[in-house]
Amino acid sequence: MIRFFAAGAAPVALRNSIILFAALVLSLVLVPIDNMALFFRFQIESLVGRPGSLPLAVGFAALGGVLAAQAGPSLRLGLGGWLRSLPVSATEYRRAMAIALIVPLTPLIVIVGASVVVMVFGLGSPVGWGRVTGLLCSLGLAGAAGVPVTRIWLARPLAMAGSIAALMGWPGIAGSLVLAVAWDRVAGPVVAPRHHGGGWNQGPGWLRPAIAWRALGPRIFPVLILPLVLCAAARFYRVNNGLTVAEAGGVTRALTSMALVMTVAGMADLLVTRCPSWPWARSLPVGSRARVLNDVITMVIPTAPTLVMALGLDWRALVLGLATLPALALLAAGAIRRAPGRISRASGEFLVTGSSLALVVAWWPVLAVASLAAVPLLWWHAARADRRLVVTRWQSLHHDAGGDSLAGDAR
Amino acid sequence: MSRGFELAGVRFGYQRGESVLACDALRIEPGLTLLLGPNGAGKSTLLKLLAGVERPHAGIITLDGIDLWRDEVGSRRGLAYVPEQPDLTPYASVREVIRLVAALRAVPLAEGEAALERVGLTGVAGRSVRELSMGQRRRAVLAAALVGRPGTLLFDEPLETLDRSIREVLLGWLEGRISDGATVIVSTHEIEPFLERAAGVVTVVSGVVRWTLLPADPFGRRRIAEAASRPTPSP
Repeated sequence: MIRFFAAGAAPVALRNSIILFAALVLSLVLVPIDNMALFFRFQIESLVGRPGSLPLAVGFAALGGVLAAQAGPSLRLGLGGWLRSLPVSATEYRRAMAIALIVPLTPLIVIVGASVVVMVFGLGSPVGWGRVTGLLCSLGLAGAAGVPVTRIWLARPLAMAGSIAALMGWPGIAGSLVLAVAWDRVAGPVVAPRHHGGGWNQGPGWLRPAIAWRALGPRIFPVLILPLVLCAAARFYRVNNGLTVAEAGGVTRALTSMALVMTVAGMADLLVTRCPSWPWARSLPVGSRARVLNDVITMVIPTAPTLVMALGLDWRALVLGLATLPALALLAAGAIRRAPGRISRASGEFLVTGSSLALVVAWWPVLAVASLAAVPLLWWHAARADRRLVVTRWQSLHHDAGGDSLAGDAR
Repeated sequence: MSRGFELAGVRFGYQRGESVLACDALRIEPGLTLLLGPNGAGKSTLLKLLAGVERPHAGIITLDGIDLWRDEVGSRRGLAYVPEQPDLTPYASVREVIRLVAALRAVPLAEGEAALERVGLTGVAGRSVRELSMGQRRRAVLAAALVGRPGTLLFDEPLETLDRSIREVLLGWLEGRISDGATVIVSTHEIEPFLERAAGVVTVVSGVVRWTLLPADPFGRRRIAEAASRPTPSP
């Protein structure tokens, strides 16, 4: 049973790793370069050093609690159906899920382990072993706090109190173990899942974009990582090389344009798999141009972080990005409609066309005007691809239960 | 302006180079038309083409004189399509979908609520389609068809999985719409409830579409309809 739940938790752990990696990249961009080594040394010593920083450790445990609480509903999905007919008690389900919920916290455990290694072999500073043990116990109890149990109003505060107590030295760890036993006694059975939908009540005007955002959900965050890395690369390249103003501008334009291409490409692939064409809706009075526009808006919104970073690097890169973005999004909208049946999905075609456009405009910025002028033509072209789409053809290769209303295992 | 559907030189296939449906010329006038043929003949495909869900690779389809693919919004404004598979999006509640349909057909949202009440879905209107049984899903799509007074109605196996009370609601409503002069096309294997009111039969056999006018004689009507539904013997 533990292995069953842990297998379900592994993809969540991967998603959490990606989010934490993105946070790390963001800190690389935001922290002044001269102070970066000092900054990370201070963080590591505060986390696992002696005496260490209690607020940082509590923040770390709270992050664990948030990640576990997010992962909890994903893990219990199977509990609503056939699984309940197996000869397993409610207590066994609860304990198995509490143990499995440590898996999504693996990235945090790795951070603790890596910090200890850096302390011992890199910095040569004394490690606070009580703090390290306390952090691991704390994360374990954060996992328990994430289990969606019947008496969650009582069980979750107990688990979180144990999680914080574990950070207060060896007596605190002993206290946290007592609280863990208390959690097990009072928690009650795991609450069976309920499909979402009850709380929705969107006005008709916002429904079509809302459907796309509900379908994509938190999956857009991994899409933002590569663009952030590219922006960070632009910053490092500018700082660490003696570039002229013109050279620095060129590097910034090229890398931020590519960051926009990567964001749009990632969003295009997500739309292909998570939000495929809705055949019945094509019989409603909505034109193909409106459907294309809906996709364009959905793909453009996540480029906001890249545009903000471009502004921080060079305002001209922001202007250029804003001028190129409509054409890029329309190229991607067309690629989405030609994607069914392609192994490369939408990004295969778009990375060729979009990168070419972005790099040409980055090299000769005056061509941004031509890119803007081409928007009506690209819109017409994408709408034509939408009309030509055979929407009810079965695509086993890219079938995603998430986008299929008739798939029982969709979530 | 001619009312109803007109098809000219229509060709369609799900794969490139393939043709699963061919129709050189067809006119479907207002009134009830039955769409008959054996399983896999292409009836649902023809309905998808008429509903504007799929676009023919060649040829033109007009509804009330408007090309379905030249004026997408205008041609679909008075069209309601009830597919065999009720593929409502899983990312919206039933009420949201019905309100969207009401807004697109420019009728008050209250009409959407009334449609939900008529099919008995008010109690589950806040739920996603995933939470509904197959019968309820079909009722939800049916509620979307009831919103406003669409002049063209396309039904693919409309009675399938519906309970007796909803069947009666549907048949009574269809009767009223036919009397009002709507164009109603029903693809079905259950011909009895519709045969009496049907003006003609469109048969689809091995992807070829033909129109037959039904005679006034009840026995003649039944004979034609049953012959159209029968599978063709394998060569």
